[in-house]
Amino acid sequence: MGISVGLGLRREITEALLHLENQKPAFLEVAPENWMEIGGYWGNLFHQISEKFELTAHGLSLSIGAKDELNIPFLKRLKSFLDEYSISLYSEHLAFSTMNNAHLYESLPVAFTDESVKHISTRVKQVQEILERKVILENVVYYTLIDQELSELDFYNAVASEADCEILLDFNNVFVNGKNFNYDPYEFISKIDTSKVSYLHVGGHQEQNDGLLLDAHNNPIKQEVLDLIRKTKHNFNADKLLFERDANLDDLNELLAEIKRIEKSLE
Amino acid sequence: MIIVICYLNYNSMKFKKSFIFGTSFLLSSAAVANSNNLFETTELGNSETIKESIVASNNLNSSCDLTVLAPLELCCAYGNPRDFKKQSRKWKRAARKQKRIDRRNARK
Repeated sequence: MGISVGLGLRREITEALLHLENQKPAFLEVAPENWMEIGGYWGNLFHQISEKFELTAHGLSLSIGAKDELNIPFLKRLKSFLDEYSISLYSEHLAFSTMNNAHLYESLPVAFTDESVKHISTRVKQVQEILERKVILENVVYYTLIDQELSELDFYNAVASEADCEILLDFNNVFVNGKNFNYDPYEFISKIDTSKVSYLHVGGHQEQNDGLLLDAHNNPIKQEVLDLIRKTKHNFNADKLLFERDANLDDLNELLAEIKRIEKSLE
Repeated sequence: MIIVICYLNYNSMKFKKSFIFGTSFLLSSAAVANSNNLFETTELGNSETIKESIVASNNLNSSCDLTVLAPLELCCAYGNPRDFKKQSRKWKRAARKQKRIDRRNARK
């Protein structure tokens, strides 16, 4: 089974995507928070997009690691959105992004501890029950040292096992964390529970002057990351890989060329 | 109107966010699943004061659904949600105004 490559839907490229005839991305990934219950011009465009492309969803505000109560009304609205557009694949970040019911607008890392595993697993089960779908949790980039009873790797495997959810493996995130925190991304990938990995991501990162890598999604994917995909792709049963680009979106042809580069690394 | 309020409120978070990330490098064991002692290890203030300032800056957002902020087109890339270059004139004006307020507050 081959891996198809999709593209993240951003407003700047929505119209251009509708006019594409050939060389379409295999699917589009949408952030529900950006499109739920939206009407008018953008609602109409989104409806057209949904008729032309297969969609997957990548949430931004679930905050699965937070101590706040789950936002049940939001989850119910999310389910309606996913059902309305026949979106079966729903992913989120293994992180928290709210505190005291306030949105922090960033996916912040949780501690890699047994307590976190239990806390998150309970919440994931609740979410899966409401959404009637498996939740796929992404390995996130972090920029601070994390409280570690468990290694990052053991933590992801433990959450996936205990919560009976799936894993979104972001190649770029593994690479960026590996560089920033000095571990081998190949070893990480070789030890992750690949039977749980059902969705893949990749994007471009940016290097700061001090050598710190930022997961900026604003430039071409680095060759080293494509090499990581090429050398490890056989480990996975996932059939979808998403190319993330959230800035520098002026030229759709450039994005399609990036997709070609990814597809080449998957051959 | 709600959107504008949320936007302004969101924009006023820029400083707070920078602060959070600047601080985050000092937090050796801070990321403890959003518990009350999240910021306990920081050298820049105790957890309560930092948490209160973040939550205060989010006062409106806490009662404002994230989906209402859709005009901002949120994403999960580092820093990108703070890039307002491509927003409409109305948003740009609001961003400039907030920037002035932030600068004034920083001088105090």
